[in-house]
Amino acid sequence: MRAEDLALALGGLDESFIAPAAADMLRDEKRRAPRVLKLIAIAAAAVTVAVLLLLAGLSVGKPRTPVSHPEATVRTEPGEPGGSSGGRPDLPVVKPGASPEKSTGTETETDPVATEPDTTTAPEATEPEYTEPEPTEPEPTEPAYYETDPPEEPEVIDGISDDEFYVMMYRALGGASRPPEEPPAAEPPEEPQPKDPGTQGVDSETDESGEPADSTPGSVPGSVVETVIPCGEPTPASPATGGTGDNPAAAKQWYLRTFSEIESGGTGQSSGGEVTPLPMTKAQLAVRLYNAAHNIGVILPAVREWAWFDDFADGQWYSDAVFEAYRAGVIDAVSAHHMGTDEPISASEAEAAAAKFAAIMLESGALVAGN
Amino acid sequence: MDDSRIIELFEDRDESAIREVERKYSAFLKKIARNVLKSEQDVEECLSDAYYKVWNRIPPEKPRDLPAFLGKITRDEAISVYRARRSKKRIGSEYEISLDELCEILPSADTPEEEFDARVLCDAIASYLGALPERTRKIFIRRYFFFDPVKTIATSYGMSVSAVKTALFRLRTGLKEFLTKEGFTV
Repeated sequence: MRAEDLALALGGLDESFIAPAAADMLRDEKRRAPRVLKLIAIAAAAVTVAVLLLLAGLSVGKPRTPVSHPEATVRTEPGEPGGSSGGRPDLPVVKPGASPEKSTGTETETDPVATEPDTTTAPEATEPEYTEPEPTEPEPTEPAYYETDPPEEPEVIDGISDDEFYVMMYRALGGASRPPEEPPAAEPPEEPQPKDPGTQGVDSETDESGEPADSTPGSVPGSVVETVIPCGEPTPASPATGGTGDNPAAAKQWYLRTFSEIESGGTGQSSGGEVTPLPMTKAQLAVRLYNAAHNIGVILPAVREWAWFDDFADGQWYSDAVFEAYRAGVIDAVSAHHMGTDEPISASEAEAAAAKFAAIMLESGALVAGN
Repeated sequence: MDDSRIIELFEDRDESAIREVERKYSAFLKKIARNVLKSEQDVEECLSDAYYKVWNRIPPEKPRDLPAFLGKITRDEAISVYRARRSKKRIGSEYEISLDELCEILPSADTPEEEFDARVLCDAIASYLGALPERTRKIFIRRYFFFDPVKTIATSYGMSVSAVKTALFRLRTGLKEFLTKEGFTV
């Protein structure tokens, strides 16, 4: 008997023997994930903070070095008396940006800048100096002093609304339509009827967005669709457009007709989505795209592996959608282990998602590019 | 999605069952496969083969404990891939290391003439394990069934590495005695 035979024989063990150990392994696996996440987050934070401090220090260093510290001036003497700034001599002074004041010219060398001590000392040490030129624009640099994540928040502010979503989708897909598989002749009779924006039945939103569509005029800033949206009938929506060419109502009509519901796609939400509060979240966007794809029989193809995310749970209304959209590369995570499921998605992110989604749709042949 | 629902999907021949399994258990299954295989490519191959096997086995089988069922299939599949890949040089996986440990209680030379019955041996091992305390049994299973590294086991149960090693040594010795008593030539 060989050891390998014994190992193989063990393979015949009943599940009841294996289950408890397997459960323990699963538990360990779950515990480990957050730990790994923390380590990654800390490492990433340390690097970003160091870089930001470095960059901030570069810009801040200019006025400070000559004025505040005599020691610094001593240091600049050999280089340049006045406008210092650009040259090498500044770099070392700036680098320790974290501890610019306490450090004289020589001490600044302490490279560990990139490590932790800076993060704590830096903000306090530099801020006082900033208070003076406050009226100007020291703000952009401030985020650099704050620990870690904040840099993402400013992007989030410009979320997208319902109307913007439709316009964005229309733009991304260029007004694509379903291939005329069935009776191309049957389309004309259907088009005139595209009824009101809400007639697609399954969508609960249609009722709502019909109104806001009019109320929110220039949604997406960069107007594009000056050419009348070939949504059949620009019908009631045209007045909503602020003359920009973006016609939310018409775009919505096109969207509903193109991705008309067949069924709820498994998430329990219609493709129109629920009432979407102004800033649409990543999960909401994913659900919409997921339902839209499934409604026309397209499963978003996986191009990457799923990962563990601290804000993702199974069995939620968004689970399937976020899972599939992420694996298809349509949506991206905020960081290695944070999806940003409930966080507003920025306009640029949403546009990127729409573009990827459009590429998949057109590639799959489920939709044919419009004119 | 809970396990019973996933099993229902398999029974309904719904391919999303595989997706659900992958989503919920891929990390766990990869860990098992990685204990045997060192190449990430082999691990991926092993997992896709394992998913395929699971698909073919449910139904008719209906696992009582899905993770254990999946773990078992993955483990067997990993060993198959390992065997297929094994060249003359050793891969150096935990699987090999754990086999070395088991060798202590078995004759080192191959004895093909002793055509042993794997099923009977498995039953004997099951009897032996059945008599062990829960935790000790888990340690044995994790080491010799899932090929978990000793350090991982120690961390998992809040033990020192040497304590786990000692426990494993006792387990092997006990198994040897038990098998000998049962009439196996060890």
